[in-house]
Amino acid sequence: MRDVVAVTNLSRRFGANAALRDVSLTVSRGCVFGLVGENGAGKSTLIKHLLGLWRAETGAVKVFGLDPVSEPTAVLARIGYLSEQPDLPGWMRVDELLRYMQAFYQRWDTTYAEQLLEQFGLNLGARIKTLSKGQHARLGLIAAEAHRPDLLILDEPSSGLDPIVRRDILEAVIRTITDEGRTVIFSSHLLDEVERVSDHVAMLHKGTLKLCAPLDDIKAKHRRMLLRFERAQAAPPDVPGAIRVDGAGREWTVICDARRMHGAAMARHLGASLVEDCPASLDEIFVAHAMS
Amino acid sequence: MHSPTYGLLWETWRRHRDTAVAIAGLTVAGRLLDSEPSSLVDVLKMTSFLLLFGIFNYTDSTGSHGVGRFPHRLFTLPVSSLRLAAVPVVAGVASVELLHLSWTVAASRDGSTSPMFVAVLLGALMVFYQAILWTLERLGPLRLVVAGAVAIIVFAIGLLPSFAPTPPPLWRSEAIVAAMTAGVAVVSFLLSWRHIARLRYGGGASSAWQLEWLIAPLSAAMPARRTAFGSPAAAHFWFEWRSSGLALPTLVGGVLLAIVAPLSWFARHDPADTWRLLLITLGAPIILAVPVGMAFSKPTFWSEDLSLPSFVAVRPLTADDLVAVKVKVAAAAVVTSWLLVLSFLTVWLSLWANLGVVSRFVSQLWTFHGQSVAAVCGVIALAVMVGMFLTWRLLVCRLWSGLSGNRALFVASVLSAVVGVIGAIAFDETWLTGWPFDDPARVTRAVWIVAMAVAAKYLLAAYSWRRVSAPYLRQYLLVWGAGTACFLVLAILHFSRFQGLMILLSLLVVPLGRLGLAPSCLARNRHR
Amino acid sequence: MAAPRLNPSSGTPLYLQLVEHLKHSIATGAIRAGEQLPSVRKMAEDLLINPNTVVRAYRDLESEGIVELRHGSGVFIRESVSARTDLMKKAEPVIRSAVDRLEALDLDEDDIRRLMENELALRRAARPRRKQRA
Repeated sequence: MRDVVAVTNLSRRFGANAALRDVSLTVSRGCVFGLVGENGAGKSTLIKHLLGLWRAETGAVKVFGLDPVSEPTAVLARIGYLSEQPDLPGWMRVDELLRYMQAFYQRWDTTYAEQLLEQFGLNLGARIKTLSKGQHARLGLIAAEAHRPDLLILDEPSSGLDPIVRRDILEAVIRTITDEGRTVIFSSHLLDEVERVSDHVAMLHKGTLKLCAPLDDIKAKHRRMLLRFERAQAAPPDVPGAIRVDGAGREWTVICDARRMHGAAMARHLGASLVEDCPASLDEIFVAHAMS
Repeated sequence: MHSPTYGLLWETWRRHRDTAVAIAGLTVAGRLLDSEPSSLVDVLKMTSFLLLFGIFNYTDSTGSHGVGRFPHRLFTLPVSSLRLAAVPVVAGVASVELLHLSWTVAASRDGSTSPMFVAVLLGALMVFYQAILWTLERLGPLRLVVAGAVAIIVFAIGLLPSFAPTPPPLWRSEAIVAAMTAGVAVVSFLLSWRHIARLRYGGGASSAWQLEWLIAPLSAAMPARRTAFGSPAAAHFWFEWRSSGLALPTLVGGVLLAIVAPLSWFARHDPADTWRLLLITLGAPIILAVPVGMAFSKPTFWSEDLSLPSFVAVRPLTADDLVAVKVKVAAAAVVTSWLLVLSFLTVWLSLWANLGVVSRFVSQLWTFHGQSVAAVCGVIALAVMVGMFLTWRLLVCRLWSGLSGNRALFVASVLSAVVGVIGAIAFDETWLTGWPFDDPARVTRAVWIVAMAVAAKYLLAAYSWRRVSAPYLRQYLLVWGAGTACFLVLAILHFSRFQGLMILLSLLVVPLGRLGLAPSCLARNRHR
Repeated sequence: MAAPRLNPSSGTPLYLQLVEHLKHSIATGAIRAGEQLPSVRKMAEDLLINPNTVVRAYRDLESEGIVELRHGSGVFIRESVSARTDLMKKAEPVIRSAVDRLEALDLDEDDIRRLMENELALRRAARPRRKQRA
């Protein structure tokens, strides 16, 4: 089976608020799938649908070809999940937690877990409630990773963590992906991390899927152009085919679809000079789509 | 809000506005009903005081800790520690006196102790209560047991002047006892002030250090899980046992040690008191199972949140497995609690108990069962089993509403239990004698009602157990069969007159249908 | 080999940045001919980038004839590269004398760099466009 996750026309409302609007995407085996979006865009909601924590109101969610709501054991046994909020029980000790988790997953690799423990510097006898936020995240990562899951899901793994912990998490992502056939889905709003490691990126904005394509395609498709006008423009110039135009006075930045626009020609047409024409960063693409 | 004191008071008021209104309502109701003195008025009075103590439970419970501690967020306010400690204490004492004042007219029957004396004792109790909650935060939920014990001690102190011979000698007179209690209250206030001040500047409080010195080697010596778990269900059983299973045994053990044991020593000269204490000891697990059961039926024991925590929801376990684990943990908790009770009873009854009334009861039982010792042992064993099943039933019967995640359902279910408890307390035997048991028509009507209830129960069971997997159904039917058999045997042996009614009632006791509903309710909560 | 600082948000794709860095290391002699480059997995873990990026960088280098992928052993620098290093060493004095002369004309560093880039850009524009890989 090629597609690890297949989401079709998924919608979800919470009261009057539509958290997801008709989202369809697929995640194929062996790729790193980055899910980006601002706070409240629906990333966590989508991820919780994959885990069966939310039931699909309309549309369908299939993970490993199975429905996570009706077959939780089969699906969850192959998933490793690191949640955004620290949710490990505080009263447990580190070794107790690992022994508890080991009982659920047949592929638990004790040597790998011990190696990670040593690398992260976690004390086996420490109570989880005494761990700092970064140590807590690392422990959660070990718990999610040590059974070498077919699908590793990280929900905003880096939020509020220092660069060293973030590095550890990215390393785990890379390690997972170099193991044959394993997939990673991670949601983040730290876009430079997403740019580093993702193959595919999906961008959610207020519940709608704005973009879902391989990262290289996205970067090839978008360009950033800096126009300089002779006279100060009172309103943003109307640039045909632009996703977003931003700026003030004489200088305006345009994020546009690279295949449909020839920079110099467009600038001449508007009566401005093209100062800069370069590939847009994921950050700028994201903001452009979010604000459009 | 111009004064910090006013701000702190306003916060307490705002947070507990509804409870305050409830207390006012209860007081008004109690005053109105005062014309007919009955135990109902006593219940109302007790409830209003309990609610008041609930309001002045001046603690914040953070999610990870569960049980509360003095609100640390107040430490960053520009207010001195003395004021932080004094405001809730003074407000609490003032409110308690106010409530006592509004009830003293109602409680005019209780003329033996003067209202002033009671007022002093109540104020002192409020100070002790808050001091216990703040300083002993390491004990967690055991604080309530300690608070209960202190309440009983204060009550006993209140009884001191009224003991024979009257009028009491100087040291036992009301004035002196009141003064001493007030003095101890002032000392405990000073201790809690010091503790709060230390907490504020994080200075490893020495009182906490001493407890730590005791607790740390204990918790290190406690058997830690060393071997791997055999199966996911075993692992989750351990998890549930550690997070919620220990509550009932700890409470029972605490009550036995702190309350029953000392009282049993004082009652060693009085056979009637010993008998009553024995009944209370046997009833303790059952009574304690009511509040513990309400907390146990929630997905997380210590948290108010009714949603399934994601840590548990993401485990590869089915809803049937999760419910089965909870039921097994309840059984283990019940067995442990009853083992504690039985071992305590063995020690007590063989060593220092006054067995006058007890031996009379046992010999009555012996004659009733044809002078057979084996039968008496059998009946006692059956009675213990019945007690265990009752306790277990109270823990487990609310699982369907607690695990459903629907707050309205859970609150309704809890309220029905509370109403039942209040009804049981307010139950007056005088009502029964008025009810002619000998009238066969009434009995037949009662039998019909109970028979319909039994039929409804089994219909619901047949519907709800359809979707549960077969192994669990078989296991539970065995348990249900054993429990119902115990009740049936006891009913048949001891009730010749209303046998039909008692048989039907014993068929009702062990929960069947509701437990079958629990997995589907949990599934609905897990996959919202 | 010093770890390169890859900037994902700059205009250049990550694999090209890695290719540039490796070429620079070879040119300056930090990596010598015949040496083995780290495996794809190790490189990806050290740099915290997707292994596919490393694979593309290595393939690019292979197509330019700088490295060879030996199945089962790894990625090795070609011997022919040493020729390139010598070439680079020969070119150094040319650049040095040119920069000396420009400095004698009282041009500062920024001016010199701007002139160099202009010249290269003109030559690039004049050349037929080399087919870029998608």
